Amino acid sequence: MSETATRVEIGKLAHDLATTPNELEFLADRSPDELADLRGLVSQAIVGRHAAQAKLLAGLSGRLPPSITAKIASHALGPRVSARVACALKPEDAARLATHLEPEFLARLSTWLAPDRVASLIAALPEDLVIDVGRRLIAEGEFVTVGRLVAVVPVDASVQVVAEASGGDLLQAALYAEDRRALAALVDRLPDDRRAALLQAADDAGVRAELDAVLP
Amino acid sequence: MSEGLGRLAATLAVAEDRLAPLQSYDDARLRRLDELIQQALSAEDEAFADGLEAALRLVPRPLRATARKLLSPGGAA
Repeated sequence: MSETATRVEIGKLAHDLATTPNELEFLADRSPDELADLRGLVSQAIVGRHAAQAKLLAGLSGRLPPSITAKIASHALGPRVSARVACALKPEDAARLATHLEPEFLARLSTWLAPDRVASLIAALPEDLVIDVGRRLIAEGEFVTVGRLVAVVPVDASVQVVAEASGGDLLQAALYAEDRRALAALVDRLPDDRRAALLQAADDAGVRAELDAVLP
Repeated sequence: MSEGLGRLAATLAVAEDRLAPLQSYDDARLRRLDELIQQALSAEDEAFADGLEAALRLVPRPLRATARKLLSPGGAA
């Protein structure tokens, strides 16, 4: 799993740096754990950069009606800053705001969420919204984010998210999944045809052994 | 520790020993990694600068002065 795991970690770091894995190719001789540690430091530096301002914006949003806050988020702040603000909000307030945002914007916002804050936020969202956002992320090829969501989305919702995903998309989601137990629970619940498509994609990509290691 | 590792540690605001796994890399590679991180930090700066100005324009006028004060450095006090 090591080489594939290293590639996956490079992909996650590239995602957080908004660059391509090719730019980070020289890191391929590092272990997955070393790369995960580096990614944590990078994420901390980026997210912490304007944490105080994000907190102030979160405080401001509490003084405005959710409809206006949602308009400010989508028309002014954009997905990146909105994600930082969402992480500074109480999860229930973030969830209330999320219901006023377009799912498309919410999907783009979710790609900027700090990994350690995804769980509390997603857990507070209505399930149908989580499914909608998850499907959009798969359609956009945002597998780093999908991999984070698999760890925190209830398995019933995850099954619906991937219900129409291709074998290749399922494989990417599986490789980027940050919680093996959650991934195993999801694969266990996949319809037979989706499971077969996943295994075929793993065979085609030459990573069947890596996938088998995490399957139930 | 190398100059490149020191520069990277300063960019990330961490102690150099947190970056020990990278110490075998030459300065060119460490410089490239530092550049990529600096670019990401700059993009974050720009997103906040642009976003805050645009946000203030959408705050209802009666609340705008209060919002500007609230979002200015030290304004939360």
